[in-house]
Amino acid sequence: MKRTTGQQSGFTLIELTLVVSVSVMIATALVGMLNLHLQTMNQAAQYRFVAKDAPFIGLLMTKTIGNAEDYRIFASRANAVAGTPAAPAVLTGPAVRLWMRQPNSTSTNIDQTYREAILSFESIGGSQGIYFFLAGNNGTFPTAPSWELAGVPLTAATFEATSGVLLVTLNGSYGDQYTFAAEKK
Amino acid sequence: MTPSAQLVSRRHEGGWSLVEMTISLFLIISIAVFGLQTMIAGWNLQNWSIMQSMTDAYAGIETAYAQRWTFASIPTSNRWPVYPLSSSTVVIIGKTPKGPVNATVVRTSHAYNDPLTGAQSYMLESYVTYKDHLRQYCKVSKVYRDE
Repeated sequence: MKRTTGQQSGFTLIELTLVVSVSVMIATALVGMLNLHLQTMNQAAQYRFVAKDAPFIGLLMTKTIGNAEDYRIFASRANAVAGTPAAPAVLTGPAVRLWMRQPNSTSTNIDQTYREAILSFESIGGSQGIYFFLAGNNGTFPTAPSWELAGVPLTAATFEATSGVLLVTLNGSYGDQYTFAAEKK
Repeated sequence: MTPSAQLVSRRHEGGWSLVEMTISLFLIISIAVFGLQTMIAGWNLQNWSIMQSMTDAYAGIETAYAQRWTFASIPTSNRWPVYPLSSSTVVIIGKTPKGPVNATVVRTSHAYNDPLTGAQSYMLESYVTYKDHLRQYCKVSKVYRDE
């Protein structure tokens, strides 16, 4: 049959095959890149704790602990409140009791010469975090925290005394860990 | 438009559609590649930032130890050998979701003996070094200790 010019409407089979092939190739490449994009975004979210949160928590804790003249580590906040000799101090634990010298104090009573505070990693009201308990002028610790220093995504915080240096280790949700010395710089 | 003119127009469009589609898809893929490159650059920056903060923290730990180390033990402990001697140790400076992060700590010291008073003093130096895929970084901690 003789084809006339007027009957050549639409695409030829070769054109369609080419278009479909190119489309499939590019779609495959785009899906691959989208997948890689999502993977990288997911990884970036997992690294957020060590990249952004932990250094800030470290800075805040170094400032807080750096103000203290002395410290003792305890196995819990209850032990830190009880203090020695009622509760023994330990070398590694989740709570640290701090002694900060009071300015202009002329008293010989240690409770009035030093202001005391406790930093404790614990769960309060179902929310895990590092809480700061500041003792009153009579040396009594409050039952509710004075401040929350750090919360989610922190999953653990450990204080450790090694050769007189107070090391703090912060743990995130993905096995990530950040250790620093909470010392005056 | 007359029927014959429509046929002529379709004939021309039939050839161009493949070109148009290829150009548009090329543009889409170019934008996607640009986005991916930006994201990878951000990812590398985040990793660089993690390494900076971890090595800073470890240099801080070295400074704290140097400040607290018992003075009389400095020459005997061999933690900071007197220059030109040095000690090199691979340490874990932190952990990421991928695993532990290692760095190398090189320690040395310079001993001074004051000729007038005979007082001994030390400059304790710790160099925290690490490498990424491009270059090597070094953080320095120097603490002067005297009697």
